[in-house]
Amino acid sequence: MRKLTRATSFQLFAVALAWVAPSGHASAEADICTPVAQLMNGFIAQELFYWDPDTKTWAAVPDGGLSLSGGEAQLIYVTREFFQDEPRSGAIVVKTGRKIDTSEKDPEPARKKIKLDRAKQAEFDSCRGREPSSFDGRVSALEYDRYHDYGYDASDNEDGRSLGEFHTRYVSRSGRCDAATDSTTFDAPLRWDWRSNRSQFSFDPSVVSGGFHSQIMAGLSIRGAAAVGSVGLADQRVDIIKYRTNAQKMACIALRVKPTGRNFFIRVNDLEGAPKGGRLIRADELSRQLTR
Amino acid sequence: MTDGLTMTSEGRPDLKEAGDRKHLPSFGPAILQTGLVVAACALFVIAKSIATGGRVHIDDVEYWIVGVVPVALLYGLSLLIARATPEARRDAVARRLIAAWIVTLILFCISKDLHIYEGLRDAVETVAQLGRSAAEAVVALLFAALAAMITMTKLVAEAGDRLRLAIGTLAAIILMTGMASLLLSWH
Repeated sequence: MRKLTRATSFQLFAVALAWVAPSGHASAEADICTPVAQLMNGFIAQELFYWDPDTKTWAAVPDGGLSLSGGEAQLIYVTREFFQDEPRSGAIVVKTGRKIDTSEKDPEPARKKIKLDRAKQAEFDSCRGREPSSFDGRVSALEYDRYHDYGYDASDNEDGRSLGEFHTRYVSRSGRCDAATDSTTFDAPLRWDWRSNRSQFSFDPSVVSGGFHSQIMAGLSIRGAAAVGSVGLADQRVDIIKYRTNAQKMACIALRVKPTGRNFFIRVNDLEGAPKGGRLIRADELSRQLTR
Repeated sequence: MTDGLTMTSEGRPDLKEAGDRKHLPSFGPAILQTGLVVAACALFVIAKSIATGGRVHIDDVEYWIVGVVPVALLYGLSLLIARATPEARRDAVARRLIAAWIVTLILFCISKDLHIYEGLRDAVETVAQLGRSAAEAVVALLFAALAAMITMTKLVAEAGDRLRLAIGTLAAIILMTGMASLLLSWH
């Protein structure tokens, strides 16, 4: 692990923090982009920056992870648009959690809870369905994994209803309010791309990169053998944040993360983000380790 | 080459009946055709697993037992059809009805696994302005009708008394729709 340092002004950081929402996440604002825009590599579609309190500068969180000296990390996630000149809307999924040490007991997924949070974003209120304008609650990890790892229907219970209230509609890159964060529509099945919006919420990296596990194969497995993404994880939390790119074709979202121990991770999935290239393909998950 | 016993079709009614099928012996009543029954039960357990969000697994013996019920009911219906249309061979009808049930379950499982099912169900909900359960019953009806078309069309077309066999097939479609809705609780 290594720490990067780049010179930017602390005043701009103060402006950025002013936008942090009570939930710990902020809406995308142009001002937040200012300190990190010059640090963005010209070819990458997304990057995660952190505020280094020692050097008082913003720097990209290295691929290998980051060792934090303080208790809370101030982060800015930046997504860049390569295909459309006009500003577009989108939504990101922020998943945080901690890999359980081998010495620690891993509870059954049915006993674990995952915190779900979707802060109110008044500017995006016109695009939502029956779900409430914000959501803050917990669901069992097993229910969460069944819904997001396999694409099963939500159960007819409290957890199932919570999942329905957590997920939301948003304006896609088409400009229409026609996208749902839990949509199961495959990206490009003819090109063997089985990813979908819902699969991006999984804590199993293989589901995020390759699409749902097969429901038929799960039925053929014996009891307890079906894989779920939350095994070996703790302190899981998922946030949905809507954004709109600015005139510079970027969206910057301020995040506050408090690592709960060693092997803490943050994974960000941009549901509308696409890397530079000839074809519009969903961006990969941005995954970084944050160690306290 | 003979072992002293002469086996002719005259002495074996089943062979005579199956004469147009290259003299293969009959496999007995459809209900005893282990492959069909096992396939129907296994598919039922997988469909139940999918319908319950992964709470049922292939080693849940009780669901194998429940899975026999649709097969038994369809076999019973085939007896009624054979009685109403004497020219229709009971086993042929039974085999095709059980095959239709198997195809219905396959359509359900594959459409769920490929996540086509949700789109179909949502479309029915929107177009017909139905609730979730009613929309799922309509989808079950579509699957059962498609399955029956696949397995029964040739038999009905070749039958002398098409009307009675078609009515029997319609009854089977309704029965399969009901069984799918009740036993699988597709929601």
